[in-house]
Amino acid sequence: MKVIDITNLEKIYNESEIKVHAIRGIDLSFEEGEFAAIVGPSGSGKTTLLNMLGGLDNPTTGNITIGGVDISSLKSSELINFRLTNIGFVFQAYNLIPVLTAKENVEFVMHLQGKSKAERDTRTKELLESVGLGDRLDSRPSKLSGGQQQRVAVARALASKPKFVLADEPTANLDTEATENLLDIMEKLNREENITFIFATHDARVMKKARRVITIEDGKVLSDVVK
Amino acid sequence: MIWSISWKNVWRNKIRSLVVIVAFTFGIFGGVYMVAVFVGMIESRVKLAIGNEASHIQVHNPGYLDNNELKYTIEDYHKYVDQIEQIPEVKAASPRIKILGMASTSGNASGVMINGVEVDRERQVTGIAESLVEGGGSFFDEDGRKPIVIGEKLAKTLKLTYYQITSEDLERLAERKNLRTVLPLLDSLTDKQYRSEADMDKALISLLGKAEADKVAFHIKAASIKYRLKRKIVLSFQSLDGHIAYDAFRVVGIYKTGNSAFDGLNLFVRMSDIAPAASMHSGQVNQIAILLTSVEHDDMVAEQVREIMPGMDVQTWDEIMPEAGMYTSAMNYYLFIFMVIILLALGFGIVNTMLMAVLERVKELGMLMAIGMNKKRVFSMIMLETIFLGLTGAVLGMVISYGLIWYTGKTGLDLTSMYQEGFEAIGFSPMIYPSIGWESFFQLILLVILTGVLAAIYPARKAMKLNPAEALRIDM
Repeated sequence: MKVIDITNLEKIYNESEIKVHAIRGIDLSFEEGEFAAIVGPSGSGKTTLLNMLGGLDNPTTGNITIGGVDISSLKSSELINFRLTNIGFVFQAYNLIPVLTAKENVEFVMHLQGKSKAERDTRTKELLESVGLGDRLDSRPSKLSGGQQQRVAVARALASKPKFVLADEPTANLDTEATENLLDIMEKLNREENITFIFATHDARVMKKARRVITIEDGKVLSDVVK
Repeated sequence: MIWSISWKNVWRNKIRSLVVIVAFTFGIFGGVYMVAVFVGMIESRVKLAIGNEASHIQVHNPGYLDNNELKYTIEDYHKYVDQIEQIPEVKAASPRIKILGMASTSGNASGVMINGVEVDRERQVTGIAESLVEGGGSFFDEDGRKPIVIGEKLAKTLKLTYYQITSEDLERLAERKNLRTVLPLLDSLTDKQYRSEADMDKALISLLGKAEADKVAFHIKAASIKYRLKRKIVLSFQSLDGHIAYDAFRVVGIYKTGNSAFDGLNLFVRMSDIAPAASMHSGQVNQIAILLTSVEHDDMVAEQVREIMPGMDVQTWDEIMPEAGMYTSAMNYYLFIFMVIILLALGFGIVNTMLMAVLERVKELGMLMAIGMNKKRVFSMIMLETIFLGLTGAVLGMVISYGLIWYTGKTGLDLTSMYQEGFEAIGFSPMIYPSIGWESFFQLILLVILTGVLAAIYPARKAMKLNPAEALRIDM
């Protein structure tokens, strides 16, 4: 089943007088259960593509359809709700809420969704256990290592039961052991629970794990390899 | 959860938040306490003025108010006073002959308001009889020919006071700790008489030096002032039939109300002594002063008195002393202005702090919006944070203010040694009991919340307007 369908995507930034052509016509689609990496050098346009996939940025032309909904036609308030229910995010710098515990960070998204306390409690526990942090529920981010924080971020991304998870350079701040650990967990979730992961990365370790590698350069798809 | 996050966010940068909270606490405390002191001063001034000067209600012949002349009289006052005293809310009524005249002694002369009173009734209406100074005789207790009771201020003007440090005075002064060191020196002045305050000051300065004398002179003079009772005062005034009348009286009492302007002007004689000299026949007075059981009944009783005495002018205390009523309402207005200014300054402090809090959290706010926190929630989170910040300080400030107002309201703030003369010159008591009404407190809470909300809008809008994609890209 197709989760994402991108057609004829273009993005031009009008920064001062100079126009920056960040994405120059991309057609792509992602199926449910993919574990894909978008790779490319800095400035290739991979973060721009990811932002548009995540509904954080609007395409200049072209369409992005997610689960049958053309998100380029949504108003910004509708987009926020769309993101809340359909897309999970994992960021390079973890970006947890520092005043909340691991459990509260994961719970927060479900709280925004208006889920009941009981539902929140069960799912939060489940998720943190599945990322190996069942014993750190009440730790604040400052008490967790980078790898642990990123695992909380993964649990948070999954809390809303999204259609797919976007991860922008999730391993860039992690050492090899933490990276392996994180990737293993994501892969396990991908295989066992059929969760779609899309990475933007230039980390070779991620590329190695990914089952599909899309290479982007100068805003165009250079290659699209399914292993 | 938003409430709890906002509250926790307040404490992310503890020092910065505490600085704002402390600023709020002191700002509110300063404003509230200052106003409470003023309100306390005014309340005691109004009490004093009602008790000793104006009473609750005064009745005059309408002409008397335009022109304080003897000829504007109330006739047959007995029957009216009896009727007025029938009103249950009336405690007592005192009829008075009021004559502007001149009082002279061998030492000096001064313009005065002669109050011819029925002693027993006057005792019930004003506090003058209880305000006699120590060593200052009594309020017409002794029978004798033509007694007169005058204020201490007038006594000084008429040179009916002198200063003499007696051994009893020294004993009394010894109770004051701050005087212990100078007391042995005062022995050399003991039993010497000084005719005026200036002479006494000079003697103290030459004995103690200027700096020390300035500190202690007030207490020493207060303890050593003596009154020349039984001296003769000649009153001269225009009688009802137009002649200039002279009559001699003997000083039997010296009072002090705490309003030296009043004390310097008003003297009291028996109505039966002054009426013949003024060619007034019995039943004629210029004023009836009425004291009520409580100030709340003033308008209601005034209405009844108007029915009893048609054609006469009946005024309530706030009409007699519009300045006293004005002080009270002006104070509420000042409180409002003070607090608006203080809160305005504090509000800008909050805007600054919250703007910093938003700017250093751009990335986090971007993340929150990316994962699905809508603008309304982001806006309310920052609003709540701001309001919590202000409210914490405000609550602390109000608790401290209330505690201190309550405490000093019981014990009183004693400014006697510093400012007694100054305060009494304008009719205020140097003993201040700070006080503030609940409605002012509630008004304040509303003002603080309003400040918090207004100060929050700008930072909260700034947060709400962030573009998540751009915010996330920012390196911090």
